[in-house]
Amino acid sequence: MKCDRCENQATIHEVTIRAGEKVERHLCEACARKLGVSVQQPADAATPLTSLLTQFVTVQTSADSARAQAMGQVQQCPACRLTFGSFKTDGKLGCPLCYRAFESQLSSILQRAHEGGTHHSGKFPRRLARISASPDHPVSRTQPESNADADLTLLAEKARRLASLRKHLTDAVAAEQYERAAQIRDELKQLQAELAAIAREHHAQNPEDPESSA
Amino acid sequence: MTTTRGPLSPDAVQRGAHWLSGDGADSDVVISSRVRLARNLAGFPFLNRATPEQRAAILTHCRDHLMHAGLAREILWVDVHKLPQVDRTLLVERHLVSKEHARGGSGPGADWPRGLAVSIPDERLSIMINEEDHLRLQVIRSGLALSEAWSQLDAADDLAEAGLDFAFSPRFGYLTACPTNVGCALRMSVMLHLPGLKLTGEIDKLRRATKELCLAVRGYYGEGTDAAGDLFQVSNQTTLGKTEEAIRHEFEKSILPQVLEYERASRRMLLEKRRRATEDQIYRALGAMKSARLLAPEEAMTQLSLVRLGVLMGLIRGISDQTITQLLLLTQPAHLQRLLAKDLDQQRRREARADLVRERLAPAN
Repeated sequence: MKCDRCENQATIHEVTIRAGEKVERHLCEACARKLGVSVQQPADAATPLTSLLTQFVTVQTSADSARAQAMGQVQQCPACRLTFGSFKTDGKLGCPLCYRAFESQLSSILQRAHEGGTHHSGKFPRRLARISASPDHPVSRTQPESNADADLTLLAEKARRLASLRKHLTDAVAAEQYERAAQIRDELKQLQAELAAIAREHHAQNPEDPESSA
Repeated sequence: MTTTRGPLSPDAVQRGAHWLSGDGADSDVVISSRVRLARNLAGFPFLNRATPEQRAAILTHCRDHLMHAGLAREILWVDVHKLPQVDRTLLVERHLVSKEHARGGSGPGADWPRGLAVSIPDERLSIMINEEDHLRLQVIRSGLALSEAWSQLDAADDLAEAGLDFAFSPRFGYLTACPTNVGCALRMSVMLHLPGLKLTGEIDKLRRATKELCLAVRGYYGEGTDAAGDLFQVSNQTTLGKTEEAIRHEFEKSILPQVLEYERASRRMLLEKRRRATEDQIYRALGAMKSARLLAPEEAMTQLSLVRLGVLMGLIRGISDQTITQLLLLTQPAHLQRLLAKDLDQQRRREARADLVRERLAPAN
């Protein structure tokens, strides 16, 4: 079989299930590396996910550490002082703020560990806990401002609606109701556009918000 | 009022666990359904970076709220780190805490303050405090009941959140110590009894298929344990980018019906095409269990699994499959010792295990 991206023989075959649909990719080793697809032997079913994660981290960071330094990526969490190296060793972060501090390094790792998932799309807390760092306190928190709070509540509602639409879409496809599925798909697109707009607006209004670029 | 008591009452131990009662749907294959959420308090580091004072503060803060949050009619609080080892093991056997949470001896973190809040008498809702994350909330139910379990857990999470600030980011969702749990931080799992697939040798195909679907298949006591008694736990592995509803839907609608049908077809095939050999294995197992005078835990699990299959196939009469599932729990080391209310060494446990199994299986024929 040929590689999806060039004329070479495909040696990496990746099957993922996204939103209930099977997605296959067939790649040669060079293209797989370019795309960041792990070319290690598949781990045994019994391998704990943490060790898989550590493998991902190790593979990625050894190649990327020089570039990371050059790009000014943070190597230590300003709040709990955990180093990224220490995270690589045991696969555990030190505090909620580590997600913010190591965001650029974590993004691709999370995407691999979660079958391509990059953004939360589930439940939102009713009373939002927000996190921020302050130089004189190891880990401190700030109460959400009312504006941001309202935005996030709206986001939460829309996220719930999005979830329910996705479920209906799966049901409709399963029941072979394709017309209905198409309607739901259009509604989903609309909702996703609205969500993106709200998020952009929220970020523009809250430039100091620690989550604003999230 | 904060209730601080010892572990479970002798009655509860004797009764076994509610999730083994076999009164749920599809209980011929699905033993239990379990859902759990990971949560951490904002304003504190995760446990591996917390100071002893912070760990104590997290425990107190959580207990003060959870005992008044209206989570259930009665909530029992257990200071897990203060329990004798046998009681910690008892909680592990009942799936109320993880092995990690029950750690003891002189190992690292053995004396870290750790708690358990559990709804009694049903023990359906349990919350571990200071495990890998500050809170691990769990609902476990008998048979296939993921929707009911999730609804109960979702409501408990809301009640917990009413008095506790959970670390959350709109992008990454609920923030957890290990990034493999981040997002909705939900683990959904079912414990399946698959003796048919084991006997027909199809179990490895199932393992491969579930791996393709990014599910984990583990033994009775989770990661790194063997599938003793042909009991397998299947759970989702990814938590970021999927809604709770999507995870449940995928499980209940796409995956489980196929696994259930696969197991049932294997059982039918065994009866139709390999009846004599299957009967031989099942009746030998029953014979061994009704005659044994010394019984090791692995042997009990293996043979009781076959006896349960015999009951479900209609080959063995006089006892119910629930009697056997409860025996899987009651024959565990800590349960045996609490049932007899004394410490037993390994030899005495083998004797007690054989006595108990003979007594409970006496009506079987």
